[in-house]
Amino acid sequence: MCQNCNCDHHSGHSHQHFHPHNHNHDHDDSHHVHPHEHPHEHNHEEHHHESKRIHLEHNVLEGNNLIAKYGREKLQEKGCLLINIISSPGSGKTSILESLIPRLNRKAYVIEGDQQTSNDSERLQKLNIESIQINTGNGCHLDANMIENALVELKADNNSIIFIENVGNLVCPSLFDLGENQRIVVISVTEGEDKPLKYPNAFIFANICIINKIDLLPYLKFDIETLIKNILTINPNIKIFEISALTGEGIENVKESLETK
Amino acid sequence: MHELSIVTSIMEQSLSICKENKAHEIKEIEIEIGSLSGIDKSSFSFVIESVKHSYGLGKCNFVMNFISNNRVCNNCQTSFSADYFLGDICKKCGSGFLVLKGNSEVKIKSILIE
Repeated sequence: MCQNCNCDHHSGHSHQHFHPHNHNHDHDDSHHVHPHEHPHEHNHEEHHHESKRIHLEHNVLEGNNLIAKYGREKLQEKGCLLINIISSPGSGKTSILESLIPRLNRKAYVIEGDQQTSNDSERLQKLNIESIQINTGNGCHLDANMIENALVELKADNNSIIFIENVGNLVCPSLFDLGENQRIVVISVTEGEDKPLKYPNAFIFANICIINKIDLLPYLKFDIETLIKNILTINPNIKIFEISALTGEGIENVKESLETK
Repeated sequence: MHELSIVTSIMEQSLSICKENKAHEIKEIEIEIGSLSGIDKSSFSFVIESVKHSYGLGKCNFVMNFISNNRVCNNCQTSFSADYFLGDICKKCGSGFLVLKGNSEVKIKSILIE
C-alpha cells in the first residue's frame, strides 16, 4: 500500500532504501532525534497509480451530429428544407443560387460560407435574396454549430428552403453533418472528368450532383459521359442534373426536384 | 484543415473523461479512423505532434487504427474490405461493379488513464 495516497502498490512504485536527507531538522526537538542516514519510503519519479483502460467507442463528431440532428428536427417541424451545397471553389455555386432561387415557388434563404469577404452574400442580396455570411477565417468547412447560430439569426419562414453554400472545398465539408435534408455536390465541366474518383467523399454522401457550365462544352475537350460514369461509380444512387447557371439551361429540372422534396 | 479540429476535439474529450474518472494522466488514446472520414493520415499525425504538448499530453501514446473500406459486389452481394475506392473486381464473381460501403466515423475507442 502506498504511504502517500493509500493507493494499491505496484511494481516500480515506492520502495525502501538508504539515502541522505537534503533538508534540515530541528535537533532540539526531542521527538526527532535520528541519524541522517535512515530508511524511509519515497518515490523516485512521479507517483505511479494504477492504470485503467476505459472503453469508449465515442464518435468524436458526436457533438456536431447532435446539434445537426436537433436542427434537422426543428426545421422539419417548420416544414423547411435545408440543402447543403459542396463543391470546389469556382464551380459556380453562387451562380446556381442566383439562377435557381428567383424561379422557386417557395421562399428561400442562403447561408454563405467563405474564409473571407461577404462578396457572395452581397451578390445574392442584390437579387433580394436574404442571406447571411459566415466567415470561417482559417477554417476549411462549416459545422453544425455555425449553422445553428445562423438559423437563429435568419428566422426563416415556415415551409421555406434554406441553402447552405459551404466553403469551396471537396474534402473537409463532406465530413460534417450540418443538419441538411439534401446534400448537393457541384462540379463544372472545366474541372476534369476524373474529379469524382479523385475526391470521392464529396460524392459518396451527396443526394444530388449538379454538372454546371455545360454551355462551355463546345469549347472544351471534355467527355461528359465519362464524368457521369465516374460519378455513378462512386455513388450509384445519386441524381444527376446537367445545367448552365449562366444560360439557365437545365435549371428548371433542379427546381422541380427540390420543390417536390 | 479539419484534422486540427478533430484532433483538438479528441484531446478535449479525452481530458474531460480523464477528469470525470479522477485520473491524473492519460497514458494512451486509441483512435479508430474510418476510410471515408476524410482524414489524411500524415496530416493527422502531424497535428497530434503539433498540439499535444499544449494539452499536457506530451507523454501520451496515440494509437491510430485506420479502417479499410468495405465494398459490396452489386452482382453477387459479396462484401469484402478494400484499401482503395476503385480498381478492384469482386473476388467471388469477377464483377467490376462494386459499391463502396465505407465508415465515415472517427472514434475514440479507448483511453488508458492513471
